[in-house]
Amino acid sequence: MPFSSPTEPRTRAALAVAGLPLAFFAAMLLLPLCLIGAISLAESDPALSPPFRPWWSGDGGIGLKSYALVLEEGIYARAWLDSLRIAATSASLAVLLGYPLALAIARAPEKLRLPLLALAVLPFWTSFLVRVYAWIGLLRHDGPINALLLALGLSEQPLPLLYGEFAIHLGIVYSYLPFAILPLAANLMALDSRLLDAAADLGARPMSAFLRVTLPLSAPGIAAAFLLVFVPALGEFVIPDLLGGPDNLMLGRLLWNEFFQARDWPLAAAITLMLLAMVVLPLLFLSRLLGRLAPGGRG
Amino acid sequence: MSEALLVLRGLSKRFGATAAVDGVDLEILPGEFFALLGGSGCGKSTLLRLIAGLERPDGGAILLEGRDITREPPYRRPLHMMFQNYALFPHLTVAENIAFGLRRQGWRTPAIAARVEEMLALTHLTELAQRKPHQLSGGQQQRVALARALAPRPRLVLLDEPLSALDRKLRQAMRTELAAIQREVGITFIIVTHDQEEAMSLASRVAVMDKGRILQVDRPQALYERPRDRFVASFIGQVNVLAGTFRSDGGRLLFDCPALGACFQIAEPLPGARTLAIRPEKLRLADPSGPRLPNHFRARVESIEYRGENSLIRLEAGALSLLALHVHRDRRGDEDPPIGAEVCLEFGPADAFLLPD
Repeated sequence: MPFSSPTEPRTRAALAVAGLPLAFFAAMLLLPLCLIGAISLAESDPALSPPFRPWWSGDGGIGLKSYALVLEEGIYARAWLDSLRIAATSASLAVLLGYPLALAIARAPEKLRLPLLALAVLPFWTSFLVRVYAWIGLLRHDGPINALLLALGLSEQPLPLLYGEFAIHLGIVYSYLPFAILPLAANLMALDSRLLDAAADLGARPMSAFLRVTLPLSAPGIAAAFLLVFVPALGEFVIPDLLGGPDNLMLGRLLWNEFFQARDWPLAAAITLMLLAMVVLPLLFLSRLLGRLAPGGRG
Repeated sequence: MSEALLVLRGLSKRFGATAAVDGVDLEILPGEFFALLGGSGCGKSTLLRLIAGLERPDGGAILLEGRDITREPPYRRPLHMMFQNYALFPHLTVAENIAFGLRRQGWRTPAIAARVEEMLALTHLTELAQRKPHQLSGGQQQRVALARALAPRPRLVLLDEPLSALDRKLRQAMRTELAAIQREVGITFIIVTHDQEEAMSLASRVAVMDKGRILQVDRPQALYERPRDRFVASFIGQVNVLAGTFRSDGGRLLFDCPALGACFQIAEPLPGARTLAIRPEKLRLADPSGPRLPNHFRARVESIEYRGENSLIRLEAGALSLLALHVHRDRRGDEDPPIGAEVCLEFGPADAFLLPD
């Protein structure tokens, strides 16, 4: 060490505390990621089990063939864009729906806040899969929603609600809404109510106080809520598979197909890594944006 | 029509079972620097929030320039508050914070820019206009909060413990500055404080509050020299309290004090009073050659707190414990008596005052 500082023992202690989680992180995330990276560079061979030639033990070649395939085939680019678009619109919808709910929870009397938050996450008490299945029943041609629409005379014939982007959006927003509400509620509850007093005192009507004070100060909460829905929605497999119908190919589903049906592990590994890049890039962008928006940031 | 700027009539506010503000009547005159003084939880901040419209009263009325504003929302009241801990908008710059009220109240852009400049100059913040609140010191934040409240030219500015977050030295400086700014802008100020020195030195009139009620409203001098309430007498400054009976004897006003075995002449009557109060600095050590003032008694020095310009002497007389302030006016011959010494204390008839029970 070129110089020692009085904080050195503290740094060492911090490292010791962080050591275990870091080791866990390395073992459970970085190691498998390296493995996937290695597989993505291997040659596919359906005759083998697992179905690829492990180049690291001298069997088969090493190359970017799988990546080239992903880039060449239009289907992957389309799936990439579709996933991005569907994840972004559903995350936006979840934030739009979650914001008023979070605000209501944050403005509720203190005694009610925790029970209301518990209600918001209540759906988690039943299986995710079961809840998505339930939507099939609700959205079906002869399901209760179509029956209601017909009975009310709002529609002449049953609407094709199931199997399409409408159902996927609905499924994602429904399933991930608590993820949007929680960070927003946490952010809005931490908002100093005296700032709203000050805004009102200076002549701001409630709407103006919301737009000028509450909304800008909740930007970090909005970003967190968006990301917490956007990121899992990007790789979502169950919802597009059950509600999306055969035409829809979101990346998660494509990945599953390549892995289990086509048994092309190198290709599936390449898609995985590209999906990861797709998640990390918007994350970096948003954290940059947040740094600028946060009260502590320099404008 | 009253000439008062602000009139409070029987104003009350309850939080659950406790009355935070309990039937307050008050008149504030235009241009006045008024202080609400009281300990924590006395209801002074709640009273301020009621005036600002941030709390709804349970009873009573608030009139501003003769207009009933009791039911008006805060954003329609032409008065602004300087919050404790300032409540500056963290996402806005100093200039934007000051402009906030002007924008909400529909000022035109050139007028806003001019007014913000003016306020920045008044509070010596011109160089810091583009900073965010977290980049400012406590004293600077305090000035931004004041500038923000003053900018829209309100009829009244409410200041909630404006100096309490500052350290002692800065507090002194800001107190002087606050008084100067109030004189310069001529806007009526109501300040809430728990610091009696702050209230007395800043305000032209002070209301002393306890348990949601206003006990006395007066000029600082009157509050100190002629308190009409036992709480007021002991809250502002220190006071010696003697039990006894007041009587009037052939035109002479007398107070019998059995604990001291003495009968004192007093100047102001209060029929039925059983308490005589006297401030420590009014209790003088009599000259060794004998007392010159009509009221005197003997006491023993228990302890002395030497403070340079004066000494606070703790004395015992019988079962009574008393405080006397010995002012050092003279470099020689004005020394403190030794601890344990028997001394003679004296005071004039006008130096003591009777308190109601």
